[in-house]
Amino acid sequence: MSIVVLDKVSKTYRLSRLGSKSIREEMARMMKNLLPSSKGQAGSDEFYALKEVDLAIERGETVGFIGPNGSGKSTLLKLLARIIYPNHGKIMVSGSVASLIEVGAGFHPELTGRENIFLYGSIMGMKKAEVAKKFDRIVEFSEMEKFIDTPVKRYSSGMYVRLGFAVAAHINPAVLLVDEVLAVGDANFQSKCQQRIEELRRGGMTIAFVSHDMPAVERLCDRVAFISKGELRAIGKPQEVISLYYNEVLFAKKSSTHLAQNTTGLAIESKTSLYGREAEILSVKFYNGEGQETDTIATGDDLTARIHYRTYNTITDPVFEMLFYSPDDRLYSHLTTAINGAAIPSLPGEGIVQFDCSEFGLSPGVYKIDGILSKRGSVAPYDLKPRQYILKVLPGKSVRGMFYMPQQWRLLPPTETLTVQSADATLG
Amino acid sequence: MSATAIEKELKPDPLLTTPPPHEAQSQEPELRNSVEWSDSIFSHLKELGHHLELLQLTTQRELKIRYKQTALGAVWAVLQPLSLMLVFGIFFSYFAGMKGDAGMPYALFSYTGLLSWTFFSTALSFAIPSLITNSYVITKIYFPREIVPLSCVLAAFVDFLVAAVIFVGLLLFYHNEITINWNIFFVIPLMAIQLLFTIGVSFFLSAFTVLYRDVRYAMPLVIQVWMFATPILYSATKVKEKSETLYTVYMTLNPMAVIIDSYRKCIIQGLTPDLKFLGIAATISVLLVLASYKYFKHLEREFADLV
Repeated sequence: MSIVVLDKVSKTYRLSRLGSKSIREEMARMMKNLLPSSKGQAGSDEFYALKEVDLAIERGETVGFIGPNGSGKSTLLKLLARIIYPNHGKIMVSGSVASLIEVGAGFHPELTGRENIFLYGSIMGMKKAEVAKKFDRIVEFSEMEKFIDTPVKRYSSGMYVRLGFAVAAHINPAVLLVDEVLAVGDANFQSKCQQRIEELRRGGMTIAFVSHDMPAVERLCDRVAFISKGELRAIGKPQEVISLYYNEVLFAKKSSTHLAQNTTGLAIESKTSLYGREAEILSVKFYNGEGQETDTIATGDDLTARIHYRTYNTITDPVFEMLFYSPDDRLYSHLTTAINGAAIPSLPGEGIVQFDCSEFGLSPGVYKIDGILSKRGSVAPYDLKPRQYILKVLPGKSVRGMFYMPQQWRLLPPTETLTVQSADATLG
Repeated sequence: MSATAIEKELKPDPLLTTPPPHEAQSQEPELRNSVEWSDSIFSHLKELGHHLELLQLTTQRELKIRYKQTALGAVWAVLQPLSLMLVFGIFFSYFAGMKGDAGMPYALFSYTGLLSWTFFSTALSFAIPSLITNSYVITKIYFPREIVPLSCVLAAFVDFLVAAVIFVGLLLFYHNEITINWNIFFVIPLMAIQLLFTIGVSFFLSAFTVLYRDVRYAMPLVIQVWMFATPILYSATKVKEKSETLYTVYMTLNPMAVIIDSYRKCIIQGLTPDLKFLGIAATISVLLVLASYKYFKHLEREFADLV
């Protein structure tokens, strides 16, 4: 059952009305509008932050919103949070909505941490008794026991954010809105936040969140919505929408810089270069020590991987990457030609890049693999195949531990043992 | 780490397994935040009712932050009207020989006016820019926005009550020179009317300031002029002596004049206030609150875009 429904929701801003004006400016504008020549200008400076967005979020679902900066993601969350109102369309929400648009936004610097927890909780729609009941858990989560009676203005920014997230993560709304707040605090607290969101999610809370952290979006969301220029471009499975997003970002880049080159010579490939892709990864295949294609090897075995690519333009200074993820989506290994690989000056047409590894180091398990082809130093890849390939690893040379290392053991002859000992002695 | 280990680590939150009460009530998505969103005063009041605790907390916050890191704390609430009373007593009464109403010590006369005027002007000076100074919350979290100016008015009202302690002291000091009788109970409806009137002006001007920042700069001047147009340092009977028509216009258009004049009549002189003017002032206050609340809620939707 839908808990949030958006029906043709639009939000416009008048560019000339951004910010508030003084009566003098207003009168000048009115005078200008009276002149016949400037008639009809009113509509021209209208800017659609969101345009006719239709969306339904189901109860208990986690939906991620991705898109370039300024695409309208935050506007959408603010609409859901009732901070701003749509110009057209309807928004239907069942139950309360709590927004984490900015962590700790309701804090008053002069009040203590304790007072602020109650105030913030109350702004978020909690009753005093409810806050009191959860107070200890909130303080414990924030790890702020020592400073809870200190005015918030004396907090460091990290402390501020920790307390803010702690309160927000313990309120119990029907819908939780999270805007880019996972990127705060140190690594330890970040993982704590993500874990808490995962907990809330499993507890059946409906969550809508905006992020640029694609691995987090993919891991946490049931569905992902891609918003661009105020329009909902796609909504669906995280993997598919994320790869569409990457392609769209490339397309936007291409249309501005490479348009002229692109008009010739690509007629045959028009289907695959639909998104204006310059290159793509066709497949990643694994081979065992005997050279046979396989999806299963053992720890410590020799492994060969071949990345089959195709380019539509000549690409200079490309970088191939493979990322190995465990089933619980932890990144275990990142292999890149940027560091270990032989320099590849340019890639014309189609081909294969081979990666050889004697004594594969990952411990037994099933790994999902990202294949990435990008330009050195560029943020947006030419192609990203998220978790597209699978490699099963069986127990081999290593039985226990996190990973295997190539190794040689040998027994030293007695004379050598003595020299090592004396070297130790002089050091000591 | 294996998947099952993660599963164990993330046990469901015991507080989350019980569904929140609001979910049980409303199974169907309720219509809200749309362009057709209900605009009736009753639904606004109902929502405000759900946020009374927040109103209480923000009022406490207003009071706390106002006196935090001040050596004298809440004494400032008393000091303001008291020092003005002394200054006016010295300059207007002692040097200029001004008189209050008949049979009224000038200290008591001026303190009555200053006390209620201080409440009014303090409330306005905090409430009018309040939406702008609180923009950091308004653009981030939803709550009924009227809580912001309302808490400023209520905090000023608490100051008013604190400063009224001195007033009681003055009444006791001068008890031989004044008449106190049952009419003193007019104080309660008078305070209610003044509170309503102050809330009405605050709603309107705080919302209007979001549209036009000019209000912020015009306000100190307007409050000063308004103060001279209110019988604080002089007696309303002085106006009446000059011209009866002028007096009618004066008392009809300025509810603050009626309120202050009535305070003096019912507390110090033991008289019944002029019920005709008081009725007009009460009507103006009620209509003003309703109209400005509606105006406020209408503009509210644009606050986050404009502040």
